[in-house]
Amino acid sequence: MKEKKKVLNLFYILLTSLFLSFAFAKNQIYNFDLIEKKRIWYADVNSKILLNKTIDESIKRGISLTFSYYFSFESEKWWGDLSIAEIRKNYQVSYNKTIQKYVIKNPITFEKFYFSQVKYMIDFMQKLYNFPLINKNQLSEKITFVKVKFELDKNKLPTLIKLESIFNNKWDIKSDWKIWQLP
Amino acid sequence: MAATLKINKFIFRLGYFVAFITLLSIFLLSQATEGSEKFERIYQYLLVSTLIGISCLFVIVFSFLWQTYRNYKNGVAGATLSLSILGRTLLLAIIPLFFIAFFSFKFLRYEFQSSFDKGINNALTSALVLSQKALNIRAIQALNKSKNVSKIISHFIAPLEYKPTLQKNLENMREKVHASELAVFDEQGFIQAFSSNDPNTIIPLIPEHSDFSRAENDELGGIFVIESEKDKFKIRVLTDINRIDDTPTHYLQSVYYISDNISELTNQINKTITERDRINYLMPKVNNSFIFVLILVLLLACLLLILSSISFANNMVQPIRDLIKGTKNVSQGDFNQKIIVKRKDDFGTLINSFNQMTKYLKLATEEVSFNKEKVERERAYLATVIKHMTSAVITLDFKGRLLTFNERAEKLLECSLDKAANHEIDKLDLEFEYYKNFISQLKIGEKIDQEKEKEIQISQAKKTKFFIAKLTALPLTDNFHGGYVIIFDEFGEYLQRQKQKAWEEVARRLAHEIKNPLTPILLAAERLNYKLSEYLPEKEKKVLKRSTDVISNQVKSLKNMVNDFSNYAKPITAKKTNLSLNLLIKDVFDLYKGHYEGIKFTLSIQANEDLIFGNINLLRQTIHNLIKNAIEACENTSEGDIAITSKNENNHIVFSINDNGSGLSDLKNDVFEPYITTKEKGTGLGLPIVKKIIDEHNGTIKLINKVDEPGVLAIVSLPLAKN
Repeated sequence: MKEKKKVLNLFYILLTSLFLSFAFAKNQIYNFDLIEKKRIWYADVNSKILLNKTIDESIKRGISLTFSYYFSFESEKWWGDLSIAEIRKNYQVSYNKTIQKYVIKNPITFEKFYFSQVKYMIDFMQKLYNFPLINKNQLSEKITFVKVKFELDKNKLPTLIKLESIFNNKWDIKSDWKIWQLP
Repeated sequence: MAATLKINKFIFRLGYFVAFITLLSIFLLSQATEGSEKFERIYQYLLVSTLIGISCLFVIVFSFLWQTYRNYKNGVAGATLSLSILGRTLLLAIIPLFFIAFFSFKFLRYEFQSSFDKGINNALTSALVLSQKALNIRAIQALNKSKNVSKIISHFIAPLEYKPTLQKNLENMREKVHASELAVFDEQGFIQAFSSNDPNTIIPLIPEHSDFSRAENDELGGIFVIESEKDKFKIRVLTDINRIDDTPTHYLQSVYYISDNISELTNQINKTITERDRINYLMPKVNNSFIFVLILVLLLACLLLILSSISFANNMVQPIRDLIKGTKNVSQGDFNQKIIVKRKDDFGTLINSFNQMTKYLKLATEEVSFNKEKVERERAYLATVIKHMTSAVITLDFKGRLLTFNERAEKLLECSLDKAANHEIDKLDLEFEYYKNFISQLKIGEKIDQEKEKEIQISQAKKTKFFIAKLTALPLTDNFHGGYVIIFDEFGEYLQRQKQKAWEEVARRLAHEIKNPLTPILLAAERLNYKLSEYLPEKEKKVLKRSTDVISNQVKSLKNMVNDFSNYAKPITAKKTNLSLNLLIKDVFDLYKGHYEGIKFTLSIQANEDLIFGNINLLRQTIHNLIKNAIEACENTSEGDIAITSKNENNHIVFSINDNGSGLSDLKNDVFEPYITTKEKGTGLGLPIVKKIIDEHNGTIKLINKVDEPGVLAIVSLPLAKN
């Protein structure tokens, strides 16, 4: 009887660990705060980003990938949620073979950041502090909530990879939406 | 049917339209795969539209295939041919398509690049290594320079108020060692001094704390990082500064730009290597994309091919289907079938011929129908003639099989000849024994010349009947024996009819020869009495009067008798209508009931159906005559009893008049012959007239002398009217 219980306990532990590993293995946004300063919304985001070997290999083999935080300002309507404004914070990731470093380029400012290892690059992308989103005056309607997700922008993939990305989920790098409810 | 054809036509057109759109999408997809930026942006949409197009086309093709298969299973006309054409067309078209597909896949799978680029790849890798080494050498030189600068600067680092001296010397040193930047940090990472050749750079990039400890502990005496900025390479070196006393550790960060020439070359190598890696990485995907596009094209081609084959098969089979349908209708007798000709090819000619054939068939059938109607009319006419003949008639084919007969024949041969029709005489049952006996005595197998007359005697159940039959051989038609017509009658009845005819002739002559002189005789007698009576004495006058009265009475009596003869001789041409015999009997009965003393009249109506087709006046006269006869018979009886009844028997109404009178002394069939009477004053024409009227109504009359009791039973049977 006791042995049976032990086996059952072990089974439950195994199931829980499997569930936890699965739950934590995926990309997710831990924390998302919105701060208003002088009528401008600033975002603080903490996330967990996991890049698989396919992504790493493609970067190292000369493919430039664009990762982004995708913010959406939503207003609740009787028929559903309506997106009022959409903002992206993009990271254009590449690899410099000569200096053997990962490069993150800001596509707007052209500012470059060099990382000798992929984990440093991921660390860099995982934290977004004080990112200016939008001036409140620019919003035409009352916002109910703001949501954010991290994703690999598939639209900016080379065409040849686009086809593969439809059938191969290794290219499916994205987190769930994290919602910040406005008071 | 026409609606289905229209829908099918619409779906075919829709299929071709979808195929065209899908083909366009695949073309743009291939353009995008080849790298067209214009279509690259809409790649997903093109992919989705292509897949939707192929799915739609698949559904259309599958529905048509299913329809063809269902038609084949249900045995629809032309379905087998349609399936056969479809199969053969597909076989002809798809096999070459598969060959093309096979070799296309084979070529696409071949890696051209691997064989060509091996040398170039090695060269590029070597160039990369070379540039990396050149940069490393330059970095180590920069590190050494930085270490030397650190040694010199270390002298200027004092615990108190050293910064102005340090700043000045740092700027001198920077110019001396051709560095882009020199910056001194204390152990906590705060900037102590900074010099840059770029006036826009106010503060240096501050290293991480971990970098300081790494620089302090590194075997080389410092760390360096090679960076790229605006296509230029620079080396950032971090070293610790040698201390001459116990002052805290300081760090020197130097930045040296690599010369433009080397930067440019290194960049070029880097770009080329990156591009090569990119191409090598994407090359299998290019193949996959082309294979994907090729699969889509092949799929589309296959579907289009099947659709076209179905369309072709339907187009080929439709006229055949129309013809089969038309032929079926024609075989079922519908000659109004006309197929609309929409084509000018051989099928059009065939359909035209079919329409022409149907037209001629229609004309021929109409003619046959007309002739058939004519024959039927003639046959009906003949049948009516035969039916109404007073003699019995039967017709036989050349094998002796019964073809036609009339009621009289059935009556004389005492069987229903319906069942004997079209049967060979040897195979008939016992019930036709009388008929078989009659035919066998005719000896129809013997050779006869047109006509022969034969007397036939048939004995059955102690009863012998004599017939006189006239056998006529019909003329040959198309070398076949035409059969026989037999007209026969019972000998007794035949004689009776002959007698009746003779009597009618006598009556007619009597009426003509005797009736005319009677009136002058009567007038002459009256005139004689009138003229002579005044000249004669009273006694003679009485004798004259008695004599002229006798003449006058006898002449009147003679006139009545001649009138009766005249009535008997006249053919009956009375108009017949449907009438109720029960009502008629009751009407006549009411006239006699209670008017005769000593005679009891009773009426019993049991016939439910009493409608007959006859002449009311003649039938009334018949009933009057029969009742009068019964009354006269009962005159000498103290308690006379006359009972009248009516009942139904075998589609006939039978009424009888039963009396208990003196009866007939010698009752034979000849009571119906003229001038035979048992009465003192009777003309002997009452019963013959009754018999004639009953015969005219296709009925029978019998007078039976009762055996156990006195009196006569008169039974009259008349057929009921046919609806």
